[in-house]
Amino acid sequence: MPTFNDLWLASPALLLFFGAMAIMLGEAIVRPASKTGFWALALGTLAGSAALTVVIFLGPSADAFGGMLRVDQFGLFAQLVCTLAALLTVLFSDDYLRALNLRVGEYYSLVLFGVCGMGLMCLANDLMMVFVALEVMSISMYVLCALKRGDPRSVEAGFKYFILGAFSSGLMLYGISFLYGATGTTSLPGIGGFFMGQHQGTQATLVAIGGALLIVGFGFKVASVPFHMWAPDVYQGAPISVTSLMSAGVKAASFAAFARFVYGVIGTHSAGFVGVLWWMAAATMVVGNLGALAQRDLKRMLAYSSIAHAGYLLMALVAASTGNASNNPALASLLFYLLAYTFMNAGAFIVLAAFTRDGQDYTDIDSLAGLGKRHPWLAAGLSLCLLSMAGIPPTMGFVGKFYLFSAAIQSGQVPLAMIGALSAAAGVYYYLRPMVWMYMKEGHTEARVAPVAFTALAICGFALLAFGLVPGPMLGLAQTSLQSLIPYTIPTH
Amino acid sequence: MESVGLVPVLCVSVVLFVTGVAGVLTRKNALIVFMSVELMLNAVNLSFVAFARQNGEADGMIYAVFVMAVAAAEAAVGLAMVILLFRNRVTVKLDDLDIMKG
Repeated sequence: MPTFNDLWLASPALLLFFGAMAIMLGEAIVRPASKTGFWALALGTLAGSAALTVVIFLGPSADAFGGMLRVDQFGLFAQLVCTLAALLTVLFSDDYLRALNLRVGEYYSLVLFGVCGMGLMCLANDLMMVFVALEVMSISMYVLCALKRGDPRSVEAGFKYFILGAFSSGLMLYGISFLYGATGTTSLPGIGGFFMGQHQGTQATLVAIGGALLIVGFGFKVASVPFHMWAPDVYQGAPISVTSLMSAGVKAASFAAFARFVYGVIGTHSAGFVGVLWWMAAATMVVGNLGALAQRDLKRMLAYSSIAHAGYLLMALVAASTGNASNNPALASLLFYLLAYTFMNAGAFIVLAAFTRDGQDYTDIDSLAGLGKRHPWLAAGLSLCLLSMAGIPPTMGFVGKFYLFSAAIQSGQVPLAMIGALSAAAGVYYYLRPMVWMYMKEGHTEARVAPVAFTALAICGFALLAFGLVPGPMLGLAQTSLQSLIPYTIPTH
Repeated sequence: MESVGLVPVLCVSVVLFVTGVAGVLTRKNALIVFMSVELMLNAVNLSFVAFARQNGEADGMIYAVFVMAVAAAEAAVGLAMVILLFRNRVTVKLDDLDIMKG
């Protein structure tokens, strides 16, 4: 039986679950013409969940539900990032959905279910729990992608995401079953203990196949090369607000679970897996940045940029599993970068959503022409987000990249850091190109941004500048969060 | 009656899984691809149950039930998605899903 403490530690996710249920029932029974009530309820639920997460964050870390969840500061930090991504997304959703002529209450319900899954995934300490949380998150996202039922692109995006998501879940599950077969447990500490020991023969084979399948599954979820093919199409076809949530929230949750697996389980004990991760990180950074160069559609460009960012984060995982286990700055910089990415990503999508009118998105780069003259604040916001993604000081993205790369160099991953730095330098081109369109081209852009959405943009811009100029406290927080995450070195058998 | 050992069951599971993966990667019909994914999940269930019996624990069997529940949820969403696709495009061929290129 779950104790009161278990329920308390899971309360941020439970609150989201109840909020989602309330909205779904409300939509089914009351069917209000205006969905603004649901919007407010979703915002309130997310804010409440964030507040609960902060309160739990201040307490000690603990296991919950018989070791299914490991409620530590690392997971809670990532959970907070996911909730924040959802908050920023929901803030501009009401006006965006109205411009898109998409008046559906279940949108908010699905967003809350998705964030509930993300939160649990950040805390999951058992591969089965990772899987269930991942599915709660993913199934909500499949539906959200295809939410614009009349638009073939949205449906195509949803379907592609669904097929590849289900496929990767299948691979991951088969990996879990092999690890279970070899070790007799699915709990991460248990499997980690097994990895520590010497094993050979059938067990070693099962572990190798299982670990490889899990890495492939995670690779699909975080859209890393060579499992990234779905990302550009899905990001382009899905409604803008969904893309925003997907690229920041899903990424943060997947990386939190991936980091627990890599750092805690295979970590320093398995050089082979780390080698695979090394190649994945290098290829992801290069392909993401080069792929974005040719894009004229901004959503697609941001999709490739998101692949590139997944590569930087993978580099942090490689650094974390090769460096000195104690006092390793790599995972702290991963947390910090996830937070930075959430702000800059949400900000960019808020500006893109401002062009939507009469049920149509306008995300071609030409729609930006002349934005600097007509809407100087929107243009400034987008510029700030793009500069931050490119890693130009004094933004938060610069600080994040700086710490990521220096952590990689500290753990001896100099070639990988060089590949990353070179591809990031190529990436500056496509981040600066929209600014040329905004400030140096003439155009008749029609953009409209509601006060609430503008507030969200202002929050993103402020955070990017504030944490860029004064990164100390937030980095310190990320460092502290990490101390709760220990590699699973103690065998449980 | 003599019971079947771990290895034959695992072999069946691997064959099922590989069939599923091959189906997803090569077939062009959305419904067949979807069926292949289900095949993969069934292979997973089989191996969970086989390992559970081998280890003499019940967890693996419970996990199989978990997987079934999730597969059912996925099936509901997936079939809805196929219908939506057909309504929009009057086709379920994956080759026709190429509006977005880049």
